[in-house]
Amino acid sequence: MSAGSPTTPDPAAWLAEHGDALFAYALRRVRNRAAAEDLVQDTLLAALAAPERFEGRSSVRTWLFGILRHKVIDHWRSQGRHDPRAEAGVEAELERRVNGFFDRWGGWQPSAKPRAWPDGATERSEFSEALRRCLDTLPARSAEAFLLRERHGVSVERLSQDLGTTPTNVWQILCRARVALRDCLQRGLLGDPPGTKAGPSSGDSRSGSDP
Amino acid sequence: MSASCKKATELMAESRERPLTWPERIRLHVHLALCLPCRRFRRQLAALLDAVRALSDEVSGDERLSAEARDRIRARLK
Repeated sequence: MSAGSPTTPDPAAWLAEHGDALFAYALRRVRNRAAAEDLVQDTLLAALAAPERFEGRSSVRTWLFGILRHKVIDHWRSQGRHDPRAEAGVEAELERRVNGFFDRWGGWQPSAKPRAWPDGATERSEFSEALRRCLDTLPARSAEAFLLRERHGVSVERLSQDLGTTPTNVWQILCRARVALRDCLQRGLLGDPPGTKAGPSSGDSRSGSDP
Repeated sequence: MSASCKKATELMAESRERPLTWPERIRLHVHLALCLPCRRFRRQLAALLDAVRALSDEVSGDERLSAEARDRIRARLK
């Protein structure tokens, strides 16, 4: 872990040790290899330009990830400036999808009704794989907002500034993302292609155990 | 008075961001007491959010930097 100590900046070592992890993070956020490569490069250049910012309070990796997170946010800001309507369009589609889970009286549609998940499903490793796949089905900016909120605890006010949209919109994006992700996971776990009818929900042994 | 499933779902999703008002809490709890699918929703949403926080940042094969990208970046860092 001694390689790449920022007191003697060694960007080649940073790239060798952390390049893949930084790239994977960026790729999951922006879903575009070329853009993700640029973000990794910009991150390392920024680190090289200001090694004194690293104060030894955390690992080099944490420091680099902190820079990368800001670079990803800059990326979203500039995307928002260039093409605000494209992202708003896919977000409106998600809104329609989520509204489609309910009938006109606000009851669950049979195909979207929460059903019992297999016992222990959420503890198996396939669950996190399914979760990643479901995150990829969200609009990119929605997924980004959701992850920053849930994994990094970024505030809604902060997100609205960073993503270049209103707090109300961030709020709605987050709520829709939660509802849509649960639906996507259910379809993955129960092998239910979108739009098919749900079967009778029998055999839910835990149904009565809600607090 | 009970909420609809849609309203109950929204309240459960929103309760992550703000404390619900007392009337909202009462409507939600009355609804949950009567509605098994919405109780499942609540449990599954909580499990899903736990899993999101536990997601590892480990890298799979196709998420690695290509050799070309690596060389290009290394050249820029000189």
